[in-house]
Amino acid sequence: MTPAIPSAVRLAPVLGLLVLVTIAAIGIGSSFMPPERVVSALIGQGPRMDEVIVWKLRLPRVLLAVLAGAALALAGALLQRVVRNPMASPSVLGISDGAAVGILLFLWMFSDQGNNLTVSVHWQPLAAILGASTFGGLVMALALADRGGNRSLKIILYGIALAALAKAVVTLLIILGPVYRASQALTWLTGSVGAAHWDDVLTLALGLALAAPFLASQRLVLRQLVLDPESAATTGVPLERAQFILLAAAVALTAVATAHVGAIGFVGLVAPHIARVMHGQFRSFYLLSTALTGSLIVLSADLLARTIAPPLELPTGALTALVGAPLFLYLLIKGRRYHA
Amino acid sequence: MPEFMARLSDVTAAYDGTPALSGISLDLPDNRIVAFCGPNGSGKSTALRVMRGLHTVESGEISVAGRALADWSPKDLARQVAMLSQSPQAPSDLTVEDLVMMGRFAHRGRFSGPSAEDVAACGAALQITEMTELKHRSIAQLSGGQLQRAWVAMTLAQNAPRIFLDEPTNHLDVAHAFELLDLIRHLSRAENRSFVIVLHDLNMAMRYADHVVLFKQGAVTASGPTQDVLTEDAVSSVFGISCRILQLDGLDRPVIVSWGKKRG
Repeated sequence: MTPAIPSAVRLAPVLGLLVLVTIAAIGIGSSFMPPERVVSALIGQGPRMDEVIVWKLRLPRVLLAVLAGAALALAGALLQRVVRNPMASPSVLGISDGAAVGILLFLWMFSDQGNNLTVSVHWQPLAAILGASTFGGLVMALALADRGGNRSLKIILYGIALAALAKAVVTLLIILGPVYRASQALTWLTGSVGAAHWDDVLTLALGLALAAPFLASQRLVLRQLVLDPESAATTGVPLERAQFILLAAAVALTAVATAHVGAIGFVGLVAPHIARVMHGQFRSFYLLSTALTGSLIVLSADLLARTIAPPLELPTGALTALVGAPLFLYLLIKGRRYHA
Repeated sequence: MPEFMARLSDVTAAYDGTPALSGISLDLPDNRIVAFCGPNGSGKSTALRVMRGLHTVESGEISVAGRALADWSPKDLARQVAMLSQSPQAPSDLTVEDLVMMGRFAHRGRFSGPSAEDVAACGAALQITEMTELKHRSIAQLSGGQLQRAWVAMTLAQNAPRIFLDEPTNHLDVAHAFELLDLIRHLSRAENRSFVIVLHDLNMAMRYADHVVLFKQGAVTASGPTQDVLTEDAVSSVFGISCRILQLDGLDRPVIVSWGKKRG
């Protein structure tokens, strides 16, 4: 770790890579568009046709992947600090699957025979938040009621158990629920950014815009939480309140992302680790670095998902692990040598 | 300036139903070095933890720095009382410098970087604990004694007028233990800081403490000026050992010599 390099400069590689992949992801599709045409369409200098393809068709999907990746990665970073366990993530703790349960119940209760929702689709994120909070809250309540032993390990174990329960409920709801919703529901199992609209992009952007100043204000508290709870408390951290609001923020970020792209796994787990190795977890902009890494993973995964076997589109969630896992392994092995 | 750094009245505390403190009352003087002594499990660490609000009491009243414990906000209390617990933990890739800066949490602005005052307090804490040259090391690269000094530096960086230390001489060799206690005495005399220290070594307590509290089985058996409390009778009855207290030439305080469990 060389403290001489300013934190902002450390962001450059991942930011540069994200810009490149974004341009590539906009250019690649049923009709290929070279990077210079993508850029001129983005800045409004391209032919009308290009601008329609870029702005109407491809940009929402690309931006949705970028925003969802950032939200899930941030949720993962918050959870890892609150739980004090590098294994914590929205999917491990059952929060992602809890959100999926909320969404499926919402679809089940509020759609008619004609496959139309009887209420506005804008209520869907709320259903996701309710599902995610229920499962996240259950995990914490069980861990708190279980006295003694390693609290942070307990949270992970209860999380794994409840995540499995939520997955089972999702599967049952798909099989037992209305048939006409089944295919739509399936996408929430693995996650997809395929059905992106500007509406989704705006909701998610709004969620992140609300989260940003909050996270900036909690940056010192988050850093303090790496200490054992007693040391953190004696330095002046209002421990229980901080843990509660950060947990609530992680649940909300997960729920908003899941409501729009489904339960994309693995991002929340690996993005904070990758950011830690590349950037340093005690430098400023660690959260920003985590968010950018999450964006990069989901965007790359989606790009692969639609180019591996065209015209078939694979679920994005299935590919986040394909992109993230090798990178994660590489960094773990490299990190092991570095520390030896 | 309140007369007492902490007052406990009829405080009872327990861990999962197992009693740890049974109705203790204590007045701890300000601007002094107070040592908590007693056998393992006698309640001295618990007393320290309840005084810092880290453990909830079953009953009783506690006031710290002239105000009831419950009336302090976490940050305000941290500016009044710093504490180093028995086995603090931090991630191994944290550098000494970053660890010490964490002691500044209660003073730092929410959105800004470290102020000149924060940097100065950390620099002074590193200097006084002789950790300046190691500040860029990660804590995984430190020896046990260096690590303990890094935590002490973090506690000092908090710049609180009252400091609680739970067995701070753990992991320190004799020379470094004396160095730390000399430092504590210096901070007490030169800067009027108050200390409460859990100490196992009775000779260290005899030599450095102004005031000693003796604990036995969750109760306070004696509290007062060091030489009034650490008597042959008190030490042998509290610890169940045979001992003599001897005055040696050239030492301003006597030494305690013990030679095993008390018989009969």
